[in-house]
Amino acid sequence: MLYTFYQKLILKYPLSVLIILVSSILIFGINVLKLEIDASAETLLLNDDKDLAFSRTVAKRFQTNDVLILAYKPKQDLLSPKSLQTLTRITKDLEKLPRVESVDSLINVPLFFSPVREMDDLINETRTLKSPDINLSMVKHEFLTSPLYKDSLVNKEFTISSIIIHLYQDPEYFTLLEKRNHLLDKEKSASLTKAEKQTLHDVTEAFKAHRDAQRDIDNQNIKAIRSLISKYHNEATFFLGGVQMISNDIVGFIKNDLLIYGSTLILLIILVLGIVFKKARWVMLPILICTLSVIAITSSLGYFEWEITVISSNFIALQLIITISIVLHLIVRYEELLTLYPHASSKRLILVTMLTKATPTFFAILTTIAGFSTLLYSHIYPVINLGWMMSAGISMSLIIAFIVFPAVLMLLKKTPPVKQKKSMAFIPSLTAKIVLHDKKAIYIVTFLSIVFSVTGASQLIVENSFINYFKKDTEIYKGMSIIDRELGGTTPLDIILTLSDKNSTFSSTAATQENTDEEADSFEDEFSAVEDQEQYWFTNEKIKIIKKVHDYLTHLAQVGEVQSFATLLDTGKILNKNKDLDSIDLALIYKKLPQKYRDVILTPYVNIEHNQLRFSTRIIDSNEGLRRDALLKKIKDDLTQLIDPDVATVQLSNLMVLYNNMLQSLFHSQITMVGLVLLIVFLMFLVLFRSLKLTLIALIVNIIPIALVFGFMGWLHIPLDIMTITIAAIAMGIGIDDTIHYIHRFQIEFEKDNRYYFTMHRTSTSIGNALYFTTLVIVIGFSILTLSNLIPTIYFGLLTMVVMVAALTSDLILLPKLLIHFKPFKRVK
Amino acid sequence: MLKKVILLLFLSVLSLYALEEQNIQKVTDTKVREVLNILKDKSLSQKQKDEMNVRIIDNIFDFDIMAQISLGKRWKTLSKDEQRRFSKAFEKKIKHSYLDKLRLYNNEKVIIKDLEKIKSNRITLETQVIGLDDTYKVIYLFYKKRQTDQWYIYDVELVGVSIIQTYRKQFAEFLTTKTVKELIESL
Repeated sequence: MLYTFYQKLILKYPLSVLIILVSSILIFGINVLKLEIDASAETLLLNDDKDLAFSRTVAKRFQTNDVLILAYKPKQDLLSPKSLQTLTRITKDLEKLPRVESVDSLINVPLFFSPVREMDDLINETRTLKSPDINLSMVKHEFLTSPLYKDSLVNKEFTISSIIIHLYQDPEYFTLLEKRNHLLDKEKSASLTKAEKQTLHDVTEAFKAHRDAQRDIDNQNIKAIRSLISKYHNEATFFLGGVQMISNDIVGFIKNDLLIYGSTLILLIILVLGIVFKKARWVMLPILICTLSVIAITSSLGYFEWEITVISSNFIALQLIITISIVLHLIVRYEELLTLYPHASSKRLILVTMLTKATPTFFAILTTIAGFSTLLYSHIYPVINLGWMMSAGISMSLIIAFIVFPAVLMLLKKTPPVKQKKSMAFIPSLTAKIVLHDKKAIYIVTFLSIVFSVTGASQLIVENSFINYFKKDTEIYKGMSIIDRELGGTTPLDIILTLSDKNSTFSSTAATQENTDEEADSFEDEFSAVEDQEQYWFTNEKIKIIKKVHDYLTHLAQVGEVQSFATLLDTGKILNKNKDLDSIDLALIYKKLPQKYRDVILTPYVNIEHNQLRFSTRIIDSNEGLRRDALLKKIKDDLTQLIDPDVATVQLSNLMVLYNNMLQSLFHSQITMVGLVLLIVFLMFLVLFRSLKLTLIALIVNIIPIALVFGFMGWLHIPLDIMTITIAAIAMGIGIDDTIHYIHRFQIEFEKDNRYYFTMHRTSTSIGNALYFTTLVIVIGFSILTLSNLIPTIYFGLLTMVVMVAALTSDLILLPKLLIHFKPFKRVK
Repeated sequence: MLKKVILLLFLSVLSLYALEEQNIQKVTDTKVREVLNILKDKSLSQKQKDEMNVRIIDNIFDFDIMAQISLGKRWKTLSKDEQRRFSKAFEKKIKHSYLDKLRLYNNEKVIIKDLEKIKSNRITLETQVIGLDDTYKVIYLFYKKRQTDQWYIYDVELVGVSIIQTYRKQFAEFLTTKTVKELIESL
């Protein structure tokens, strides 16, 4: 069938085929314009995370809104007239921005202790820095010592202060989201009516449109804030922080990196191809095929409305690797045949090239697709998408390469074969020599590699620190770490206590006194009728719990700012001549407190209706000893120990938890994935080689490079995070491809003389070249990534290089060694 | 603010004794003046003021019934001895709290307002505490003791917050995880 396809179509009408293919790709390429990049932090969260639903409930219930934090470091003293003037001006400017609801800074936060006053005075008149007759040294003391402001509004040295930018909540987003999720849930449990299906479709569309519009507005907002800051750069230094800003920035960096290094990488690949093959066609053809493949896949993404996210942003680099590998195999095979049969017709040479490479390439791509398909088992949209993208992308690469390569070659004149310099292709023949003369060294090195991998992998940590995505000497790192270390931390974590509703009402049957007392009963009725009024909620028992939890949290080294109802209690204590507020005091405050104060000091931390307390904290992301998962487990365990579970239950929420869930899920899906891939590959090898012995050999050869990658990551303390997670998939893709090509060729060569040593030598010096050149081109190309300023890009480049070299070494040394040792092939007479 | 309120609630009942219905308003008014005078008297030490004030409220507050209400239905599960010990402890607590708040007095005025008969054995007396910037409503809740036919205070509401209800909630919560014995100790 393939023979007919090439004979009757591709090789007969190469120009027409090319024109049709290229023009359809280009026409389809219009869809590239629809390609969307989703950089929001939301994309990193799990699809079906219960904690996500809970975090959204918390955000609604406690009316918390998103904030951006701007660190302000004036050239003069923080309270000098000039720096306060600048602060006033920038605050006014910020308040004018459409997304900004309000701005809190030194100049407008309420002052409670400058001087200490009676509580009703405080309620009747809020004093701020702008009030007349303010004593600045008193104010400074308050900022540095008040439970409300110390270490979050100002740093310990009193040189930097926070400008907290409160953004408007987006109720429309949640309304649409809830509507959509409600229908999706219903769809899972029962079938939807026709009308409901239509509604679901409409809501999904509306949600997406709203989210896209909102995202644009958010990006505009951050841009506007940045341009505002630049207006004031002569007077002060500013650093913008906040989780969303960081994740947005990172995506920007990644995109830039991909653009700069991606184009340099292409140039490098062109250069290496030129040096290795010394023919313009062998440079142009791979580049043409890569370009067409990338256009095809990106337009497909646009067409199917799949969005590129942080995780899938390196899919183009991955596709380049695999496409180059396909084309180089074809080039090497063609050159090989050309050297062997210099007088054969061009058509014949091309046909044989395509037919002999079809099976191994098809299986190589199939196993790679199998590798990437396992990404579909993760619960994270971007990772699932990457799985789809890669599977679709490399399928396209295979089809495009197998059409464009022969068609273009048919249109070109046959040229004499490339004479490889010895120095260029010395590696494959060197590996053949190593295998021939080796006694035990290969096994010893393999064993040591396994030891290295296992010990390294056991040190592997699953962490995702946004701050550590940047080199420590970059401005952005310095800015982030100032907010992180000096102004209360970065990643928000909420601790929610749900108090039990159990009350100690007793039935009269428990009474020991026999006479029922009418008087007592009438009092009982009178007091029971009003006992659920909100002002009575603040009992001493609750106050004790709040203080206990708050104190516990403030003593954790990895926790920065902690805000809760206890902050108010501490402030109240200072105002109350250092006496704790009791439940009567609190009931009175609750009754007397104007709504505007309630919204600031009560609503974010206490929800009487649901009997819940919220402790809002920020985690110090740059803390070296921070192990996110362990910290969350510790907090939950400790608090469960600290508080009787009959009294209150503990739940954690907000981004810290959501990112951690995502990472843990990623980690566990990695383990499942690796297992699954090996199983799928095992079955495929079995189908392809029809020999258990050979399948096991191929499997062992592939496990080593994958293990080495994890070993390397462990020993170099490279965490497994959203960026490095795809490395395993590359390791499998590349390694397995190499193995299939090698064994396939070995099989063919073995049939010629049934002698393992000679077969090995012939295989290594023929197909070995293709493997070697692919590795060479990619390693040199990707080495450029290690010059990036972005740590994930460096890791990506470095680990790709490690994978490629490990896979090549394993396939050119260990694989032939095992084949010679175990002799899996049947002699053909 | 709240301190003043609490203080004034106590101020306004100083030196009352068990009352008959028609006297409630008049006696309250008179006695408040007396107490204010005691508080303003600079010749008295703090200790002397405290002792006088405690004596004043002893006759008018029914601490036993207050203790009983504050425990709700749980009260009946206590043995006679526990009830006695709890009442004592509760009385001490209320008095301590009262003296504590009384020290906050800062020349506020107290005006006795209307008396309202809710039902045959319940009367409320509204008073107003007037500070420099604000006025607070304080209501005394009287009940008629069947055995003596006299009126006693069983609760006070400051700005809509019932003192006894606050304790009721607190004790109910305390007793979900702890015993009455522990409660008496904590008081």
